[in-house]
Amino acid sequence: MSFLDPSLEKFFADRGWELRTHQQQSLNAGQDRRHALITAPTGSGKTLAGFLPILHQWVSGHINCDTGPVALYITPLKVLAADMARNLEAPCAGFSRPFVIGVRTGDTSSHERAKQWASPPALLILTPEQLALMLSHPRSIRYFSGVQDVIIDEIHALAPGKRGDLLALCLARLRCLGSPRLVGLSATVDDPIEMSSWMVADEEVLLIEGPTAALPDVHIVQPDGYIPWAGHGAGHAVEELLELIKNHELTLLFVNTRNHAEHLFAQLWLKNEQNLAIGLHHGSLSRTQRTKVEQAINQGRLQAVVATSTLDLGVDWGDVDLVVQVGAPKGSGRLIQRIGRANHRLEEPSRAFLVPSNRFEYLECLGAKAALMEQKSDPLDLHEGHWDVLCQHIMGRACAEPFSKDELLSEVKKAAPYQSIDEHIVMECLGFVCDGGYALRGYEQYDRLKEVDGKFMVTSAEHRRRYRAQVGTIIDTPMVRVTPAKFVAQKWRPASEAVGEVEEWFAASLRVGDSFIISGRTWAFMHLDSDKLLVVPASGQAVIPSFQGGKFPLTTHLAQRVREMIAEPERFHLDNAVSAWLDMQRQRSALPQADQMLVETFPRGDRFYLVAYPFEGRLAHQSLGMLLTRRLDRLGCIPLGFCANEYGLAIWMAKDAGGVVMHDLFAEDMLGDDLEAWLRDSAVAKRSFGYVARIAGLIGGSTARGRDPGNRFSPELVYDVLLRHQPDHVLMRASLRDAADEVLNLARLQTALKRIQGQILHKNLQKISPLSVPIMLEVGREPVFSESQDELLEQWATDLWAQMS
Amino acid sequence: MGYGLMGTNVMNGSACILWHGHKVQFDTSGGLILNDETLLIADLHLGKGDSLSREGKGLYPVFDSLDGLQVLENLVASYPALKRVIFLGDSFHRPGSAMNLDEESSRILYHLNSKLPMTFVLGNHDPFLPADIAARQTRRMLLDNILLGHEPIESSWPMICGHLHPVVKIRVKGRSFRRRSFFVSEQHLICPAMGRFSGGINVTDNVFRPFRRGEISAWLLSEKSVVKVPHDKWIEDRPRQL
Repeated sequence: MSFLDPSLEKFFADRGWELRTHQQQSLNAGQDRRHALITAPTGSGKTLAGFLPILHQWVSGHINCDTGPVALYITPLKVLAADMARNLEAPCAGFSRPFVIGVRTGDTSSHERAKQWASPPALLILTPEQLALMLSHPRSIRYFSGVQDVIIDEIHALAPGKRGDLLALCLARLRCLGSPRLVGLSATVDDPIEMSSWMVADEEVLLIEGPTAALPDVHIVQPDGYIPWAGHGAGHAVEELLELIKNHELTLLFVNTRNHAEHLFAQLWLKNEQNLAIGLHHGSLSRTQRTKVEQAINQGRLQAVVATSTLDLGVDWGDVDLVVQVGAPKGSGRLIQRIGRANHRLEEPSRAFLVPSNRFEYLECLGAKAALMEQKSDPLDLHEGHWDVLCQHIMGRACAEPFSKDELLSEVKKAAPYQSIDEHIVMECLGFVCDGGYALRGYEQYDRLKEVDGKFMVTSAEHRRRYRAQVGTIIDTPMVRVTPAKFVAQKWRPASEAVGEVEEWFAASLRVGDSFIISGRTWAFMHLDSDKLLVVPASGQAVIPSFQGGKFPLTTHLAQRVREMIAEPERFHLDNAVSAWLDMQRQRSALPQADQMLVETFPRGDRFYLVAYPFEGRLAHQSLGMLLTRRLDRLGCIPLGFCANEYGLAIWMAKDAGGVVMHDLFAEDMLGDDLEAWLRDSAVAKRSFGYVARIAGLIGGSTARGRDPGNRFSPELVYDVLLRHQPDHVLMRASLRDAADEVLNLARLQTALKRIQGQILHKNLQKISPLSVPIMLEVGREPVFSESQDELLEQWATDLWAQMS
Repeated sequence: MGYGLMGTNVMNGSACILWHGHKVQFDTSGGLILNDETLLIADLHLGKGDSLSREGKGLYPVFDSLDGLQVLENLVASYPALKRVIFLGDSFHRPGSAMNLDEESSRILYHLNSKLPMTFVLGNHDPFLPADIAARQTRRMLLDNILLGHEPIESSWPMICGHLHPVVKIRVKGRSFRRRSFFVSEQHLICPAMGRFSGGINVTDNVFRPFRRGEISAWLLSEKSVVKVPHDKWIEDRPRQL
């Protein structure tokens, strides 16, 4: 055991704590100057473990913060930043030399920011975006040169996606400015080695594992053994839920979408005869509403909160003693964390309830429960870095100081997501940052960077300013505020503060008088006034907003478990509606083996159906449906439409597909079928381009404003023009990649197609099968996915002509 | 005086109407052919990508000018009876844009001008043009008793103009389409914008209200044809178009 400084020793002794093994290991790693990844459950002193080395180093007096902070703490959320600063006060209280902590988020005043530059704190707590911003400043070179430790909290949450790419590039830059040690803090991850190589790819990382928590006590709610056939609500279990709430201090009920949150909240209050204090929290509520709920939680005034993942990191989980997941868990990772947070004593099991809303979800819940027992998280979804983020970073890099091509390359490759990036891509990104990288360019006036003596530098301060105004990778969906209104002096006018927000497209779809639920109340739409949706309280039946967002796909890991359960339901001792359902399926059709994929064909009404069950998530199924309908069309089956859910897809046709050879239909080369051509023309790629163009800096923040029609247009028009003249432009390729990955989930589809080669079980049936009922119930509710928009238009025109003449 | 449909051209999808006794042909590209001889083009906004980049609003590609001019080139080639081209204003995004066109675009413009006489009606984006553009410039003009101008105004003549960038939104089988369109009323015929980076204003918007007299319709441009959308099929927009 290494020697701990007396002031820290006292901190531990005062609390009757002892240095835990992982804390000791972390201290050792600090002394050896080795990078470390600390994985441990909540409540195990993980954060303290991350901070001990730098605190120890500070009190030993070898370092100072004269030129810049000695440590950075990077947090995914700004609400956590202030909490962290408070929590660190106690261990630092006894220091002879004050350990000043600074917090820098989007809310920090410019005065405070200037102060942080001039007289640096010892520790700076900040978000990845703020780090990127600071790094674009020429002063950052000296400021960050003395950083000893960079502590990255919730690294598993930060790493995937574009935000992770930006952070990785910033970390690489920090490692070029000085020689900081990186310390990752993470909840239990499935593959710590992969996680650690995301943090630092080119140097060794010490893996430190904390104590394991007691296994949770997980129950699946199934009132009287009944689970609904389809749907996403929890209407069948409301009474059980109220009973649970009554018997606990504070229950958090997590749902997957804001839509479900509103729905469940309404259902609970309908039967809440005992007046239990139940609140609602999701991303569409106004900031003030959310803060109110958060305060009520922290002050212990609520007994339960219905919430989406926005609540995950936002509150003190101190009083939470029950976590309920309503609807499909989708994966086990988030569930493990949520349950972990609700557990306050490591050695005592925490309790959790899962409420499946349909039969497939029941299987998914069973799978998630098994995963929880094994403490098996979902594999991380790490990928090669996005190119638009690289463009943004290159601009920031140039704002800090001029660089040569070689310097840029070696820096970029230090960031793990970009370590094996093709050199040409980096050069193309650099080309774009310089002058747009278009074939028809050549006006120096608006070049952002110029090359002087082999060094690239920013041409004007204006470009710097613009870069700083646009840093970040989070592009908001345009929202309108839902505001109660009064009819005064022949006009609808806002009568109070906004109660929430809805997506602009949703607002646009409303007609005067339409009602919807938000903040747990029904409102009728009256008038739309620029960014305000003016409403009045209403009663009766409401259309609930179908908010976007929150649509996490079923993870491959859970999908595999569900397939195993369907293959051998006996092994899992089910004794309820679900087992009866699977029995019936075995008699009427078949239960596929875990490595098989079942395809059923049957007639129903005047149509013929093909239902397949790949269990790969809605996105992959939608792409599959699009490709299959094209093939079925060529085979003469006249597909009319399809619908996809998390578990499978159903295609309906005018002709019987019972005679189709399924192995050929699902052949792997499907992805070769003019997919690229289709993708290029799709709305999906255009939408991706809109995001890519903003992140990379092709499009400024607000281009589409103003009354002059000559100044209004959308990024999609730029896509159309580039597609004609320079389809291989780096941002065009970047948006195709994004569309394929994020929207169409093609990588997952490809793996799935490979998996099922030679493993297709085709059942040609006379009647609808039990397994297909849930998806057949969704047929008709989902919009029909049609391939050619213009053909639909032509058809409409023809019909219209026929009516008129 | 009302107007009637004369027919659609199956070859190129264009639609023909009779308006104040004149043959008016709507091409799928957004060009309007008046009495077979005059091509009218509104709101080409040449040099818009270039201007936006100059203003530091981003790094837009400049292909929009080339693209717009290639469409124009195709139009001229496919209507051999044409005798003149008249631009209905905002042909250039900035008065100076004419001098900053890329080489290929300049070549097309020069070539077209040598083939067919061109007239530039001036708009709010191009209130004047550089003197070395060898083409007629005017604020408004009368042609066959039709008033041509940039912004729609009230007058005793029927008027063909641009400026408002009309688009129409319809819903087909639960899916909505928002496309460029011609706006046609008793006294006004407003052409869609030809510029590739041009958004549009919904024909239901208040700016069209003063010109909604007599029978009104929108003529939607789809890839293959021009489709008449009667007034009762129009759908309003969302508040802000991104």
